[in-house]
Amino acid sequence: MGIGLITQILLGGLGIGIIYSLVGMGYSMIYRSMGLINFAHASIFMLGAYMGLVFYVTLGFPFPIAFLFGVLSTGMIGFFLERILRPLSRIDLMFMLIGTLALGIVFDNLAQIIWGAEGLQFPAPLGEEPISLGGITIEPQTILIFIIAPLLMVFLQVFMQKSRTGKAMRAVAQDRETAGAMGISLNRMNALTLGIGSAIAAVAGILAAPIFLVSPNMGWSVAIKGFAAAILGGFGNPIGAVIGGLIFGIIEAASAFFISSTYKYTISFAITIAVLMFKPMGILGEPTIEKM
Amino acid sequence: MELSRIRVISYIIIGLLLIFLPAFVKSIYVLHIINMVLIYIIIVSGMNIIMGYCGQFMLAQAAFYGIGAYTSAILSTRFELSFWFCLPAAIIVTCIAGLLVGLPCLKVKGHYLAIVSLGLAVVIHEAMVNLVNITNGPGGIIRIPAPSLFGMSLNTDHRYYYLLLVFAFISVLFVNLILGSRVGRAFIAIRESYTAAEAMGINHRFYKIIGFVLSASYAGLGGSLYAHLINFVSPDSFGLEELLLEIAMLLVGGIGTIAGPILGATVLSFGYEYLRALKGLQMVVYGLMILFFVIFIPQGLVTIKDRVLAFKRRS
Repeated sequence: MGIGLITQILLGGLGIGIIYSLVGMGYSMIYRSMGLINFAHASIFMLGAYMGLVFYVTLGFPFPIAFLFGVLSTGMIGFFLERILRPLSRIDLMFMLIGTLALGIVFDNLAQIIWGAEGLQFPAPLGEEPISLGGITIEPQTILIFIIAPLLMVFLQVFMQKSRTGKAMRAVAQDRETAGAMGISLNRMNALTLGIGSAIAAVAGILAAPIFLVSPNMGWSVAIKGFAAAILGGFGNPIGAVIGGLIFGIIEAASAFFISSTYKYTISFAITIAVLMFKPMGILGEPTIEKM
Repeated sequence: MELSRIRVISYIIIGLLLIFLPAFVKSIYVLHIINMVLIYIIIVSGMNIIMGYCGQFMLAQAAFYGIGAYTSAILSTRFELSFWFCLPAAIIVTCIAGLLVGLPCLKVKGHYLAIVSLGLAVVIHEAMVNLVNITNGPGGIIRIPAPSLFGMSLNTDHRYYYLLLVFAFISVLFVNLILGSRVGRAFIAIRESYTAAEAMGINHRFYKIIGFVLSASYAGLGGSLYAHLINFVSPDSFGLEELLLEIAMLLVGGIGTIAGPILGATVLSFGYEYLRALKGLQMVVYGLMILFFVIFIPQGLVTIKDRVLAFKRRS
């Protein structure tokens, strides 16, 4: 049980944990702005991976351009999705759940019609050869995740805090009526939030694509963990979602190594539930609006 | 007075129709769908108790359904016990599961309750897959015997229909009884306002636990009946898709109403089967259909009569 082994597990856990974080951030941002829990997010994640695949493999663009196009096109889909999701926001949680999930079913099956049910290989842009560094081996894809995801998070934070649009989006999240009275278009800001949330999901999808196979159902297991991560961190708080995702990833990697990978979900959820027993509003929990 | 007489007569007619239904339905396929509708009526009615009346967002119904089915399957294949012993045993085991899942769920509400109960459901599902020496893992359990009644084996869909009809009838009736009782009124008080309910001296923890256990017992009953109808259980039948289907039935029919689960189970079961003709587009159209219902008829199909009347009056 050397320090090397612990680092190894930590790195693996953080790699997948960042993916959960990105997905969880999308849930939290959209919820904060629209009051909508968008369970179609799983399918957006999947669409993002397919978009990346189309630009990278089918059209043969170099990876950075394919990545950018994939993320932007998924963001556009999210932007236009606002019109469909608008009637579902701020209604009872159950209707939201089923409405957005039904939309997810539509997307998944459209993807299956277009690209087939078989999982497609997404070649890792930095190659498959694991890199050895002082007794620790690391997948090149994990390195790519470690580079892109933190950059994105910092960029988002600066955008939300400093830019005019970011300030308007935060104003809408904080107080709809006042923001509306100040001349901010609520629907456009919601569309923008959905677009950005979807683009983040696409980043996660493309980064995770070489690790999983790209298939119509690839989103669900990641999206459940991303949602649980967002809840664990305190729902509606994007930073909480990042923390929750990282914790989730590390727990998963550690339990797969020390206990068994067959009970991966059980252990991750047991810990989430245990945390919620003591902090029912999540780790960074602020009191959320009770909608029940 | 006049109205209630019309009601009684229409109930009698519906009752007679239901009793003679298998005589009209020659297709085993259609009757099989009808049998599944009856099972869903039981399960979704149970879900309605906790979600519709008590207002708790509990997402473990499909897992309880699985526990009921597996209990019955294991007892009847491994220990070769009679259906009439397996059924109550399945209900009792599911009630205990409902109690165990319910206790941690008391602490949380809203989204947090959703994720805690969903998490526990995922754990139960994972146990079904991995406890190979009990559940036979992903392969499932085969050759579950059909029940027999007075020496007659209920091994056809036509015979099984009557068994299901009786249980579905009792289940719906029982929801009605609960609603009229102190427990039902406490549920609705808790749904409407925690604070007000507490101020009236309602112990919301106690009544929520009763709600969890009651709705789980319905899933146990449905699960046991399912196992002996299909003669086969596997973890795939009790996963996330199953849960979503059940919630969709509840919402499409009309949440918090007696007739809602009946309408929802019927429309979505038959809708799903008849959309098969669309082949690849089946699930796309099915998803759009549920989306349409949720956006445009959020009160459910139970309100459709009033809506049509209101529309007629306007035009």
